[in-house]
Amino acid sequence: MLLKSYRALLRLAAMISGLLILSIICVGIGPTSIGYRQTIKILWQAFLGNHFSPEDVNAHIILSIRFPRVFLGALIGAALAVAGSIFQALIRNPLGDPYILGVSSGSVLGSVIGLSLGLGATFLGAQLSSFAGALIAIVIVYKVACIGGKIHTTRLILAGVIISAFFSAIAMFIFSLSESSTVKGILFWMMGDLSSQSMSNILGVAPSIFIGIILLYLLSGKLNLIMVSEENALQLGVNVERAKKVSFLLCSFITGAAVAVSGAIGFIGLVVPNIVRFIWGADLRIHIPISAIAGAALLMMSDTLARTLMSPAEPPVGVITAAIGAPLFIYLLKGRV
Amino acid sequence: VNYKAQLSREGKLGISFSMTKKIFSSNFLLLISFIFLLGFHQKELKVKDDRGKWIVLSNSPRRIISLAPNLTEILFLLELDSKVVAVSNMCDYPPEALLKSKVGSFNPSIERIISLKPDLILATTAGNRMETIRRLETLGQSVFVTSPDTFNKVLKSIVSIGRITDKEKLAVLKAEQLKKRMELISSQVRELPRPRVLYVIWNQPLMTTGGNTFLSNLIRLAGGRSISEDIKQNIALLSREEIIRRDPEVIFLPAFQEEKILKEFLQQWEILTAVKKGSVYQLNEDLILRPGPRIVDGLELMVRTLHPEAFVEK
Repeated sequence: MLLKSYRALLRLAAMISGLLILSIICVGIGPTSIGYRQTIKILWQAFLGNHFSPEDVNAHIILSIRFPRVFLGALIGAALAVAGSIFQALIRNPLGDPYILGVSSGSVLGSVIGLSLGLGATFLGAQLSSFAGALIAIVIVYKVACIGGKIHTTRLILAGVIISAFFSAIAMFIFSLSESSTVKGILFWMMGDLSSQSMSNILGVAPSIFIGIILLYLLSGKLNLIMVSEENALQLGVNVERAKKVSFLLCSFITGAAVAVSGAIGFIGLVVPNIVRFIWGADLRIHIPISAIAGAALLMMSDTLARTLMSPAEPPVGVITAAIGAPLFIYLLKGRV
Repeated sequence: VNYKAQLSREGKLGISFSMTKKIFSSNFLLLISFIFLLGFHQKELKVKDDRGKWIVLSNSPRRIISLAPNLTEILFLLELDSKVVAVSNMCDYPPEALLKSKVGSFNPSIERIISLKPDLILATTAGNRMETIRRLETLGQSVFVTSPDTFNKVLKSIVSIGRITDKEKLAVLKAEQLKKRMELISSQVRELPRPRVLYVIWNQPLMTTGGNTFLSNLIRLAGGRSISEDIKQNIALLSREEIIRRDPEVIFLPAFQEEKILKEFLQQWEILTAVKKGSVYQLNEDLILRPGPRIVDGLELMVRTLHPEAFVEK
C-alpha cells in the first residue's frame, strides 16, 4: 500500500514536471520569434522578481501576453476536466460533462444576462452572474432528475440536454435583441476564447478554481464509494445525498468560474476524463489529479495552435479543442471495442 | 559699515547687470529658442474618441496600427503612409496598404500588435471586438475607437483621427472637400421623389440596415429611403411578409460569388416592384459599407443608380 502510494506520488510529480515543461514550450511558441533560450531567461528573471524596462518588447510579450494565456489555458483546462470527471462519476455515465448537464449553458446565459445588464463590466459581476447561471441550471436539472430523494441517471442526462437547449435559446433571444456588433463578439466568446483576459482577471478566478479542485479531491474517497454503490456507501457511513449535492455545487462553481473568463470551451470536460479513465482507471483519487493535468495540457496545446495556426488571425480555441478532441475520442473508443 | 554695504550692493548690481546683459546676448536667447523648440516638438495630443474616452498622446504618433479598412483609408488620406506600421487583414485600399504588415482581422493577434511597438492603435466598434480593445488597453496601449453612425460623423471621425495623429489642418481640409462634394451631389436629388430602397447586406437570412446607421443615412442623402429606416438595430432582419408589405422599388445586392445565387434571389422575390422593374443592382460594397473617405464615391454611385436623370443635364 505504501509502495503503491509512493509510486502514485512519483507519477504525479513526473506529470506535473511534464506539464511545466510543456507550458514553457507553449510560452516559447508564438508569431514573434523569441527563441527558447531568451524565453527561459525572461521567465527565470521574472521568477526571481527582477523587473524589465517597458522598452523590452520580448519580455512584455512573454510576461504580459503569452504567459497569462498559457496559464489561463492550464487553469480552465484543469477546471473543465475535473468538473467532467466528477460529473461522470456521480451519474455513472461517460456522457457526464458540464455541457451535457446544462451547467455550461447556464453560466453562458448567466454571463449574457450579466453583460446586457451591465454587470459584466466589473470582474466580480461577470463571475457572479456566470456562477449564478450555472447554479440555477444544475438545481433545475437536479430537481427534475430527483424522484423520491433519488437521482435517476437517464432523467438527469435528459433534463440536462433539455435545460441546455432551453438556456441556449434564451441566450440567443437576448442576442437577437442586442446590437449586431456585440452579437458577433458574444458569439465569438461563446465558442471559447482565451485571448482577451488580463493577468489580474486570471488571478481573480485562479483561487476559486484551485480551491474547488482541492475540495473535490478531498471528497474523492467518498465519491469513489458512491460511484461503486450508493447503498454500500450509505452502510459505510457516507452521507450520500449531501456528498453528491456538495460535489454538484463545487463542479458548477468551477465551471461557472471558467466560463466567466473563457466562454464555453467544449470537449475538454467530456474527452479528457474518458481518456484518463481508459488509461489509468476510474479511482477518483488518481483520476482527479491526472484529469486536471491532462485537461490543462490539452487546452494549453490547443490554444497554442489557435495562436499560431492562422497567425496573425486567431480562431476561437473552442474550434481547436473540438477538432482535436473528437477524433482523439473516436480513435480511443474504436481501439477499445 | 553702511557705506561698505552700499558699495558691495552696487558692485553686485553691477555684476548682475552685466551678467543679465550677457545672458540676454547669447545664452538666454538660445535657451528660449530651445524651450520653444521643445514645446513644438513635444506636443501633447488630447482627443475624445467616439466612446467619449479621452485619448492622450505625449507626442505625435509615429507608429500607428489600424484595425479596420475604413481607418486605414483615412490614415492614407491624411498622408500618414510612412507612420502606419501595420493594418488588418481586410485592409486592401489604397493598394499600398497591402504592403503593410498584417495583424489579423476580427480577432487579431494581440502579440503581433504589441511586438510592433505601436504608439497609437485605431479601431472601430463595428469591426473589432470590445474585448480586444480592452485587452490592448490593459497592456498599456492607446486605442482610439470610432463608431460613426451618420455621414457627418464619418467626416467628424476623419477630423478627430487627424487631431490625434497631429494632422488636424489637413484633416479639416479633406473633410471640408468631402462635405462640399457630398452637398453638391445630394442637392441635385433632394427635391426628387424618394424611391423605397432595400439594401441587402446579406441574403441568407436576409439582412438589411437599421435606421441608426450611416448606411441608412447614405441612402437618404442619395435621394432614396431605406424600407427599414424605422428599425432601431444596426442590422434589421425583416420577415418575407414584411418585405413584401414594404415593397421596395430598388434593391441593392451584395456581389455574389456565383451567378446562380443572383438568379435564385430574383426568382424568390419576383413579386417585388423592384424585381419586376428590373431595378436590382450590385454596387461596389467597399465604397458604400466602409465609413471612410471613399464614402462620397459610394454616394455618387448610389445617386447615379437611383436618379440617373439628375446627371443627364451635366
